[in-house]
Amino acid sequence: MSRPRISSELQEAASLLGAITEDVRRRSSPLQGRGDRLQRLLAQMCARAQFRGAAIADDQGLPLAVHNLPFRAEALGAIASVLGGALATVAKVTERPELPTIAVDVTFDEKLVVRRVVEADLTYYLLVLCPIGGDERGEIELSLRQLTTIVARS
Amino acid sequence: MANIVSVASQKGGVGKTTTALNLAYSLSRFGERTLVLDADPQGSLAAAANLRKRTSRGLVDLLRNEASVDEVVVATRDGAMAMASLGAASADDVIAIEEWARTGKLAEVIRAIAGPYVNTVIDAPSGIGRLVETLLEVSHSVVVPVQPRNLTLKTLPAFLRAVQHVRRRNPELRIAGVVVTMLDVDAASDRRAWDEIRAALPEDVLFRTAVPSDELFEEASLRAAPVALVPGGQRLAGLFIQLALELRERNLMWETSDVETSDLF
Repeated sequence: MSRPRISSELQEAASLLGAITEDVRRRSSPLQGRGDRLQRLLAQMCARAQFRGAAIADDQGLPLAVHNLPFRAEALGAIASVLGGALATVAKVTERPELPTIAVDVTFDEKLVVRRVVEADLTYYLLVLCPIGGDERGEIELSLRQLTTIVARS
Repeated sequence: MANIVSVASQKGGVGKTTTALNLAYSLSRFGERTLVLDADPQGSLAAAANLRKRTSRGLVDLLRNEASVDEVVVATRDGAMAMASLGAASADDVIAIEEWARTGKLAEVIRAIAGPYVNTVIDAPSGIGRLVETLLEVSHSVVVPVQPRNLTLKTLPAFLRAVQHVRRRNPELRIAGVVVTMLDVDAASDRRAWDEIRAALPEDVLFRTAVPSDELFEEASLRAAPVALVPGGQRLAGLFIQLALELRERNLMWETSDVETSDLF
């Protein structure tokens, strides 16, 4: 099939679309935008799954992004560090390195789930505050692919 | 943070309302709570969905502190979707909306009602005035419907220049895609125009899904429902599911676009 004749308006539209797309790519700064992207993904995960809040922390417990968790940053770091460390210890003594999750009831209604994530030899912890009795695993696994793709850059 | 997408174009009658309503409905089928906002003072989407059956209040009442969010934002029967409108009933309301758009109060209210939803789909009025600029300023992306007709295609560059202008204030705004609507596959002129559009526009901008011209959309409008809820509407509903999937795919590609690694292992 021969290529159709392109009108000048469509040529101009194509050029403008290309310019806008290129500008969008150029302005998005991966290092500066990572925290924003992580925060946004956490917010979307919580909205989809009706979680109260979530955070992602590095292996030292330092929060990389936080969405709506009722803990101070220092407390969050301590929680991630302690629970993540416990998770790593249990995984080691039971020789179950794939053991990824620990959950702690923080109130009568809610639990804090800590999911250990290893990406490119670096360890991260995803913390999720969600209802007791709910099944959060599917939503967490669904969101992990997006989260790990972003944190893979250091 | 909610994902806000405006459905907007310069020309009227290109299927913005149909696209917004059915796209929002499709997104809500994925289990993502979705708000659809009729931001057109003409209230086409609110009329198409018979929102008045549930509320006569809109954003104008919220902005005047004469209504609560619960009175303005109405959930559908299954709770997966919600709807709100500007609620502009008079010329004074329309003037007030322009003023609130200018002062930023309209943008604040839209962000506030969009907060609890994974997706907010805004049905924008046609044109590129202050109201449309405000809607684009609060949006993360814009879907641009175009009919495969010369008059519509002629207005596309002007609209895209307006998007470039708004991006100075909202650098986050990106083009989610251009979607061809009201395509009459039996008309040779439409088929030629569709071929031309596909040849001209970048693949990562033009949605693969095209929405055909079909009497069922009119039927759906009379029944005040998305086309999925109209007898015989499943084929068309399937197209909007495809469109919603393309939109989600593009959002995901955008959100992960800063990854440099190219190795699988």
